[in-house]
This record gives sequence, C-alpha cells and structure tokens, in this order.
Amino acid sequence: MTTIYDAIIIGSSPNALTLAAYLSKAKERVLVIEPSKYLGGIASTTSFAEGFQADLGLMSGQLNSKIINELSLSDYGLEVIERNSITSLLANQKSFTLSSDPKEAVNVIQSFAPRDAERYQKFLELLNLAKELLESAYLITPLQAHNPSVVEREQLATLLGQLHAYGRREMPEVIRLLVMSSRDLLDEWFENTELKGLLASLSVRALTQGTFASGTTFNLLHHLAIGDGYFRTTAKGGIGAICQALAKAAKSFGAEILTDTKVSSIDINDSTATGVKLENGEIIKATKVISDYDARYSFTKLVSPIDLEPEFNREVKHIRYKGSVARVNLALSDLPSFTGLNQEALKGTLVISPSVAYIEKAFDRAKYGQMSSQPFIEACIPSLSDPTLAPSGKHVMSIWLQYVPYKGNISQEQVENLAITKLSEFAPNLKSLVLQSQVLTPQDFEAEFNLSEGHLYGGEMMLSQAFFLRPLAGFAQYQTPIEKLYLCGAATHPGGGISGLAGRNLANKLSFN
Amino acid sequence: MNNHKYDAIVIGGGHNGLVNAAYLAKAGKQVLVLERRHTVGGATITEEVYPGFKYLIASYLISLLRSEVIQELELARHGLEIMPLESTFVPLLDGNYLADWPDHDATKHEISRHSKRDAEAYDEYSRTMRRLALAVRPLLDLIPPDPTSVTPNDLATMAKVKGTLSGLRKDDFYLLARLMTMSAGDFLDEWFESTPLKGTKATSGIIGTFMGPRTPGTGYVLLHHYIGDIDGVFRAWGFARGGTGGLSQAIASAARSLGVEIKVNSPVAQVIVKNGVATGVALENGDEYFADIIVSNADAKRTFLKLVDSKNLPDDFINDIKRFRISSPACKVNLALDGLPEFTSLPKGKEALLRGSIEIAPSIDYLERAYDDAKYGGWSRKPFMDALIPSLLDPGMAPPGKHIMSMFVEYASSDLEGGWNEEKKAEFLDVVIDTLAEYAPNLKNIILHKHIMTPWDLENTFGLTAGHIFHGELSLQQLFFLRPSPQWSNYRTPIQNFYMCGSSTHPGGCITGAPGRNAAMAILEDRP
Ligand SMILES: Cc1cc2nc3c(=O)[nH]c(=O)nc-3n(C[C@H](O)[C@H](O)[C@@H](O)COP(=O)(O)OP(=O)(O)OC[C@H]3O[C@@H](n4cnc5c(N)ncnc54)[C@H](O)[C@@H]3O)c2cc1C
Ligand SMILES: Cc1cc2nc3c(=O)[nH]c(=O)nc-3n(C[C@H](O)[C@H](O)[C@H](O)COP(=O)(O)OP(=O)(O)OC[C@H]3O[C@@H](n4cnc5c(N)ncnc54)[C@H](O)[C@@H]3O)c2cc1C
Repeated sequence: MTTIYDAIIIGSSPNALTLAAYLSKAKERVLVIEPSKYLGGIASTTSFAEGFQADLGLMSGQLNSKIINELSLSDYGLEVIERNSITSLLANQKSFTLSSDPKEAVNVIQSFAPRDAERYQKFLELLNLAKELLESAYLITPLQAHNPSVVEREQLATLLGQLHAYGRREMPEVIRLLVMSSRDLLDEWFENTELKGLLASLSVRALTQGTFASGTTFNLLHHLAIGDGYFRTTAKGGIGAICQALAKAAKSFGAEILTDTKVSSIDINDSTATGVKLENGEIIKATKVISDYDARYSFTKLVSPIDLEPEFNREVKHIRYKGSVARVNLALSDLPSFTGLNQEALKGTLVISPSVAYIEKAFDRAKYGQMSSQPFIEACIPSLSDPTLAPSGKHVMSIWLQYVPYKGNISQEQVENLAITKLSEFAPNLKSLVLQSQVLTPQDFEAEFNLSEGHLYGGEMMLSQAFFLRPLAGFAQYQTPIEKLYLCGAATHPGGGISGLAGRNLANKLSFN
Repeated sequence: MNNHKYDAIVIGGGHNGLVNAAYLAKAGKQVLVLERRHTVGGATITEEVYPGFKYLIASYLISLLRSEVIQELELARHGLEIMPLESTFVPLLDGNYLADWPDHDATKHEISRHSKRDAEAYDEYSRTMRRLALAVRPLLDLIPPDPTSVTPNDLATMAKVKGTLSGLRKDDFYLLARLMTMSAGDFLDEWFESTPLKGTKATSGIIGTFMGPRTPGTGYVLLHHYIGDIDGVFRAWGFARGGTGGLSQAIASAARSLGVEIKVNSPVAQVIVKNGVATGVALENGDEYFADIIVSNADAKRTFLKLVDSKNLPDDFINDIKRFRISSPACKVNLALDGLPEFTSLPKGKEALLRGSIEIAPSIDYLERAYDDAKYGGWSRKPFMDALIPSLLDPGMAPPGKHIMSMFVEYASSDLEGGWNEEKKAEFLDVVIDTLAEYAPNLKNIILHKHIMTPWDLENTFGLTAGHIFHGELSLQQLFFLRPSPQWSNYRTPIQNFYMCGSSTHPGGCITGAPGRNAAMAILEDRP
C-alpha cells in the first residue's frame, strides 16, 4: 500500500513551510514539494558567484514573532539581523540617513526641515495605530464580509473595538489612511520634498502603482504590519536562512520535504483534490492538497480550467499581477564608496526616491510598457553585517529596481546597466568593482518560479485585492472551489512578504476543522 | 445696518443653496439667500457672454438631480424642462467612430462593429452597473453617520448603511467593494476589449477628478456618474431648456414662491460669531444681517478659511479643512459657431448623433496620457473633451442658423506651473480647438467667438476654490462620513447654528440638490 499523506504542500515559501511545521507539529503527515533546487522559491538565498551569496527575490522581511516563538525557531538556527537605517541618496552631497531610533531621526530631519522634524514622531504614532490594527486583522482568516458567521461577527466586533479605542479623533484618521494615496498622506504631514520622497518609497514597494494612486498608503501600512517596513530586517545567512530554519523545525516534527521535484498537476476526483501528479508521472496521494502558488498559476496550470466554473475562471483571469520589480545582485571586489556616506549608513538600506513625483514619473513609463531611465531603487550591502555572504574583503550588493513592466520585454542587460549607472551617480567607483552579477526581471520570475506575470507578492497588494477580496472574493479563506484544495501563499491574506501568517492562519483553520 | 432678523441666512445662491433655502422655507422658516454674483445659480448657470449666444460656462448636463428635489419643490411647475440627451458619439482619427444610440439594439450593433464579444458583454455590464447604482443610491440621501459616535441618530443611520450593503446580492456586494477601490480602467478591462468603447466608458471615472482612468479610486467616480436618473429613466443625461441656468431659475422661482428672499450682488465678507454661536453675516459693503441659522453654500475652504475667523474654530478642524484636496483639472470652453462642425468620421445620414454628447476619448491610454501631461502642474497636449451642441436641442440657445458648442475639457491643472494668466489661457484654448479640429477640420472656419473658463477663471467667477467643480476631490478619503472633515460630515460645523450645504459635503459635487436637501434635514432636526 502506498502512503497517503494528510497534506501535500506544493511550494516552499515561508508560508508553506510555516504551515508544514504547524501541521506536522499537530501530528499530521506532511509532504512539501518544491519544484526548484532552492528551498523557499523566491525567498531563498543562493550562490550566484564563487563565494558570494545573495537573496533571489525578496531582500528583507521577518516571520511573525508568534511563529518564531511557537515553533522555537531560534533553536533551529534563526538569527535576526536588523538594518537600522535608511539613506536617501541625493545629488550634490545632500544624502541623509534616518535611524530607526525616532529621536536620532528627528535630529537629522531638524537639520534640513525643522517644521517637519516636529511632526515626524506624531506621524509615526499615527502609522503605528493603523499598523496595529492591520496586525490584528492579519492574525485571523478574513471574514466572509457579505454574510459573516456568528464567530466572524465577534471577530469583526473585536477589530472595530480596537479601532474605536483609538478615540474619536484617531479612528477616522486611521480609516482615511487605509484608502488614501501616499502623496496625499505625505502632503498632509510634511513640507520637505526629499523627506516626503524617502517616506513614500515604502508605499510602492512591490506595487505597480505610483504614489498618486489611492491605496498606496495601504501598501505602506502592509509592509509595516508584516515587520518589513522602512527599517528592514533579514536573517543571518540571508532570507533563505529563514526557510532553512522553518524547514528544520518542520522536519523535526516529521514533515518530509522534496526539492527539485516538479508537480505537473493536482489530482482531482469528483471536484475533490486527492493528491498530486509529478512530472515523471508518479502520483502521490493525500487527503488534502495546499498550493503555495498564486491563484492564476494554481487554477490554470495545477488545476485545469475545465474542472472549474467559467465565472471562477474569469475572475482568476482578472486578478491584477503586472509584476514590475527587477532584482540585481552584484559581486563586488571591494566596498563601493558612496560620496558622503559612512560605513554605518551603508549597513542600512539605500534608497533612490528623491521625491514623491519622482516615483510617480518612474511609474508613468511603466503604464505604457516602458522602463524609466530614472528608476526607483532600494539597495543594500548585506555582507557588511553578515560576512558569511561574501569572501573576506569582498562584498555583495543587492538591488531592487522598479518599475520594470512585465509586458515591456526589458532585458536583463538593460536592467543591470540602468541599476549600475544610476547607483554610480552616488558611488562613482561601483562599476569598476563589479566581478559578477545576477539579474532577475519579472519575466525571469515567471519563467523560473512560476510567479504569474512575475509578481513577487502573488498579486498586487491593493485594496481591491486585500482582506476578503484576496485572492478572490468569495474564496478569501484559503479555500478553493475544489474540495480539499487550499491556497496558502502570498496570494492569500495577508498577502506579500514572508511573515508566514497565511500559513499560520490556514494551519489554525485546518486544525480547528 | 439692517435690523431685520431672519430665521435663516444662506450664503450663496448656487443650486444647493437655493434648494436648501427652499426646504427651510417650506418648513416655515423665513429665509434670506445672499449671492455674491449678479445672478443665482453658482456653477449651475447659463450666460450670454457673446450677444445672442447662451453659453454654458460651467455645468452643462443634468443627470444626478434627485427626483425627490424635483417633486418636492415642484420644479416642473416652475419651468424646469429636461430634454433627454439621446446619444454619444466618439469620433476617431482613423475614420471610424463609435456611437451609443437611444435604441438598445442599434447600440449593440454599433459595438459589434468594434467587437462582437463586447456587444454581448455590454448588456450584462449595463445591468450590473444599474444594480450597483440602485443599491448605493439610498446612501446619497443620508446624513452621514459619525462612526465614532453612539448617539441614537448615528446608530440608526449606521444600521441603515449596513442594511443597504447586506441587502446586496453576494456577487454585487463583492463587486461593489472592488469597484470602489479599483481604477475605472482596470474595471473596464475586465469587461471589454474594444479600445474606443473602453475609452468612452472610462470618461465617467475621470469627470471632475484629478485622477487618470488608471488611478485606483476612479472606479467610485464611475459609479457616482451612474447613479442618475431622469424621471425614472436610468443613467439618462438630460439637457435643461435654457441650459443648466434654466434649472437654477426654476429652483429660485420655487424658493421665492415659498417665501425665500434672494439678494444678488451681496458678497458675504464674514460670518458673525458670538461666543461660539453664529448670529449673522457681514457683507463686503458692511451691511449686516442676522438670523438664528446661518448656512454656507460656498465650498469648505472658502467657508472656513475665508468667511470665518479662525479663532472660532478648533485647530484640528482647521487642519482638516486645509488638507481637504481641491486641486482641479477641469476647464470649460464655449464656441459660438456659424454652422455645424463636420466630423470626418461621421457618416452621412447619422447627423442626429450631433444632438448628443460628442466625446474625444478614443482610448484609456489617450485619457491617461492627458492626465500624465497635467498632473505635475501642466496641461494635456491632447485633452479629453465632452462636447455638446445645445443649440440643436434648444434653438433658443443661439441665433437662427448659428450654434453654440460647449466643451468640458480635462486636464489643465489649477496648480499650473507659474500660475494661470491671459497668455496661458489663450494658449490652452488653442490646444483645445486644435485637438477638436483634428476630428472636425472645418471647425476653425466657423468659429465666431471662443471662450474658456480655466480653473483660475472658475475660481474668480464662481468663488470655487481652485475652480474645483465638485468643491473638492471625490477621492475615497473625502467621501461620506469623511467629507469634508471626519467629525463634521453631517452638515453641522464646530460653530453652533452654522451649517454647510454645498458640494464639499456628502454626497459631493454635480447637480444633485442632495447636499442642499440633506443639510435642510439636519438643520430641521436641530431646529424644527
Ligand atoms: C453574459 C456575459 C456576462 C458577463 N458577466 C461579466 C461579469 O459578471 N463580470 C465581468 O467582469 N465580466 C463579465 N463579462 C465580460 C467578460 O468578462 C469579458 O467578455 C471577457 O473577460 C471574456 O474574456 P475571454 O473571452 O478572453 O475569456 P472567457 O471566454 O471569458 O474565459 C475566461 C476564462 O475562463 C475559462 N473558460 C472559458 N470557458 C470555460 C468553460 N466552459 N469552463 C471552464 N472554464 C472556461 C477560460 O479558459 C479562461 O481562463 C460578461 C460577458 C458576458 C457575455
Ligand atoms: C465647468 C463645470 C462643469 C460642470 N459640469 C457639470 C455637469 O454637466 N453636470 C453636473 O451635474 N455637474 C456639473 N458640474 C458640477 C456642478 O455644477 C457643481 O457641483 C454644482 O453646481 C455645485 O453646486 P453648489 O450649489 O454646491 O455650489 P456652487 O454652484 O459653487 O454655488 C456656490 C454659490 O455660492 C456663492 N458664494 C460663494 N462665496 C460667497 C460669498 N462670500 N457670499 C455670497 N455668495 C457666495 C457663489 O457665487 C455660488 O453662487 C460642473 C461644474 C463646473 C465648474
């Protein structure tokens, strides 16, 4: 008799591995199948040049602290590294660095925008209220908003209670934040163009929208709520180490993990998932199947549209992906010298986002399928805080570049040239230090990791695709039209990033059943 | 010095001010309307700028006017006559065109020339939008609740809102949630494939708003423009005999017949406030008028930053009003014509299409580029236009054989770099005419007179801050209980006995009469 697993999880993102760990901890027989060589998919850290390691997709993030504690991940080797500053790279030696310590940040802002300095702390406090609300909402499965059950009503009442407790002034302010554009938000709070530019950067991270779009403040808050805000965190050994720790935990509870194994389809009998079929034809049976992939890939490639209703297929087709993030990793022979920046600043995140309009303009080109010559860039040199990533004396630079529209057919070479040219404005010796490089465009992400339209978050993090609408209205509770088939990836609530919360929420839901 | 004391004074005789005054008078109040211009109507106005030609220098069509207002104020008896606008014509530069006919099958046939699939989807689209619009329409007539409050009134209204939403079909509920938060362009992409069809449908999402069809939030504006009906005919746009000014005259006449006193040429300089209570107004000429109730029809910025001494207002509230977004992209052009424009793409025998809307909106990208050009403080090199030849519907609008053409134009920023002046006005007017002439080459030869209202002119003429046609952006953070300020969306203000009734309040701009009517309900709750 062949084994029948309790759960097969297709994909190995932090959400998938979190789910695997919780389910196996609850004594379920779990098999994780990852098609690529790397555990974690785009959340992995790989060697791209002899002795150099870098993150493939996401270049920061952390698991929700509940998961770290509940799974005792520090026992499995997880070590968090914080990047405690962000630096706005500006022409004419005007670059400035904000520390995660608000008092220090206020001092810096004081030197060029005294009136804004006064407001900075209050601004952070308001963001924090909204962030806390999201954190609460992220810890639960989204409600069926149209006709909530008794339990869901109670959950909703708790969330509303939290909102009410903010007080009569703050409550509507928090509601406004959720729907407004980051341009509007920052115009309300600050005067200084460069400060607004830097603070706006987070609002478009991984989003194919400009700063003028409603809902960009929501994207900003989302990143704060998943612990991947202005001040980024990573793990010793890179983002991939987070998946390694999760995998170790899961394995210690009995989960099995296969890499380099491709699932060609999900086996469905009578509208019920019964297992998976591998590319080599082998069938593995399970009482439930969980896809870590986005909805489009899951419901066009893993499940045949024939097994689904036309209306459902149509909605899948309408999900907005439009990936526009490209990643560049550089192996450097030495530390680049950024004009006017000290080594401490280089340990943080470097941002090219001199103004709110700058980002919007970069996005303008993307709307028509082009890449602006003035891109939005975030970069870091992880080897400065984590020497394991590069041979001694050498460094890795990891670059995140927007907007590289999926539909634009923009080549790796174009992206690499642009990234280096743009960053060289601030670090003139950069080009001469490059030993080797790795570039991934949205098309590469789709081709290599099956991310629809190369979207790193399994679909745009916008209000029309969040909460009870993610990934699809009516299917926002990790369930699908196929019985015993679930989704658990970034495509589901609470969306993009590596918080692992979708995995935890689904684990809760499954063990509750 | 005038010692006469009124029950209520309404500052501004825009259509909402007049509606408000009429409802207060109907409830037995003695009401005075003070209008700064020489005539009432505000942006709902017709003016003979060029002898013999009646220009629509601001609004031009009526659709969202609440049928309650028409009936309760008996506007038909006071001369209101609305002629339905029957068609939409979208000329294209490749010689083709798209048309929306009064006859449903004719429209479907038209669309199928561009896409058979879209023609099929069109029915379902129309039905869906109709259901959504009908579902949200009751919200227009509500005094927005304060969600932070637990007063019986607020709780009752919140229950009503909840009831309205949970009464929706499940799929409609979800669709509404998505539509509210997405862009008109993305929404239309889901339904249609034909470029001009999507272009023309997207225009409803950008009218009056400084957003492009790809900006999330325009989905709501699209819906906002679907809510109208004329005499029960859904989504119908109509032209009032005599222009929109004809409507204002009808409301003014109804108001007068209910006993409202209207004084024009009476700009208010200041609201008189004593110990936190509004007691009257002072005109620019020094005259003072007193009343128990003072209502402002002017936009929120003008009202609270100009007409009220800031010492009477809490800092938080002033901050709310200052941050209220009111940058505007809209202009109005009127042309006096010696004949009719000849559109290259209009086939012989279909001249009737000139009696409807003529839209220069060939694609979503066209509109989006128009937005891109303007959003950093510029204007569109190829603007979007919604044109109309009112003299074809109402011959009284121009001398015999001659015509007027009214064009609503976007985008030209109220925050134009370097500011607006006469040269820039003339330059942009040329851009508009050049653009239209690409579609109707004889245009330049038949122009007798041309006239443009830029945001700057709209501000100077009508007192609209930044020329904003809706008294403030219809962005999500400025709707319903957030309009114009979170705690003051129920037409009341931090100053006792002082109220708002203009388009800066729920449900916002357009000729609806709803703010005026809802404000009267709120006032009468306080002072029956
Ligand atoms: C009557 C009608 C109602 C409509 N209602 C809506 C609506 O409510 N909301 C909306 O956004 N748009 C609606 N539309 C518009 C429709 O979405 C558009 O016409 C367009 O999206 C269809 O695209 P398509 O022809 O490329 O794909 P479609 O033919 O719609 O196919 C979309 C997806 O469904 C799959 N599919 C197709 N047929 C089947 C089948 N028999 N079984 C399983 N899978 C199938 C396809 O593989 C594909 O992935 C409607 C159209 C019509 C004619
Ligand atoms: C160019 C343009 C085109 C439009 N097209 C349409 C359309 O086709 N269809 C549609 O439905 N809507 C349209 N609108 C929007 C619509 O016209 C407005 O939303 C509506 O008229 C606003 O009405 P209101 O009564 O709220 O304000 P207003 O019409 O602005 O009235 C305010 C009144 O207050 C007066 N006032 C201001 N300050 C003072 C003071 N200190 N003392 C005394 N009086 C004062 C003003 O003079 C004015 O008369 C358009 C607007 C514009 C500008």
